[in-house]
Amino acid sequence: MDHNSANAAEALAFIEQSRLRLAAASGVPPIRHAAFAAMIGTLVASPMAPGISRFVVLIGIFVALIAIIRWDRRRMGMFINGYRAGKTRWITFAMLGVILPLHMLGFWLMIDHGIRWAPLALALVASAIAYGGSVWWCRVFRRELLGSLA
Amino acid sequence: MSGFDPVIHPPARLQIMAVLTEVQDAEFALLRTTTQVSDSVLSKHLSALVDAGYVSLRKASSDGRSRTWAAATRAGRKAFAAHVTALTTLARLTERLAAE
Repeated sequence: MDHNSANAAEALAFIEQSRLRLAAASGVPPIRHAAFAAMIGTLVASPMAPGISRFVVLIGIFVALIAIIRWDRRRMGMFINGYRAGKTRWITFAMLGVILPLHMLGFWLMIDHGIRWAPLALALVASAIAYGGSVWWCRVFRRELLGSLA
Repeated sequence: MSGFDPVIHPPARLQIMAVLTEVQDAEFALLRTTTQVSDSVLSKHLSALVDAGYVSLRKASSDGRSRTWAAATRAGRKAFAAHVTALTTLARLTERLAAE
């Protein structure tokens, strides 16, 4: 073998250095968290839209998602998938585990119980969860990058 | 040593893979910033990683300019993880030997 331990330690240091620079480049402004929260809030509130306009809202959410991805790529020169391997994946699943039931609960309360404002109230809760979850996700991502390999 | 990969081992390639395995894709300019090498050197290392099947490249136009985006392939992610494990094992082993 032509590599020795000093070489291994040095190689690990190169990787850590690269991750440090990536962490520095992956800053997310509050407006990005707000955009994600607004998108989730709109999704949860969507049952309030009457008839066919509900599908227009859903298409709008899909377009907003694409716009956010393009914005990330333009702003940071990279895109980080929410489902990437690591501790952040659990945060994504936890958010989905709360937001999707809220979405279904809104439907159920409005259609079965006639509480028309329920999706809007739940959308506010979902938006707050999405904002907090997005901030938390980014913090965990940065912590993972800044963590030592050895 | 099992997992050690000479294709990935050069410093610039380690740094490229360290970025690409954390993101879905990254632009050439970001990779240049994180590796701090010249365009030509970065291109050379990216080509080697593409030839090994560890990285895929695509061109996309943005703001009227053509930009190169790189992404780690599944094989690349697997090889990098194995390489880091091999390096970590080697570094720990030496630390232990030095302490004795």
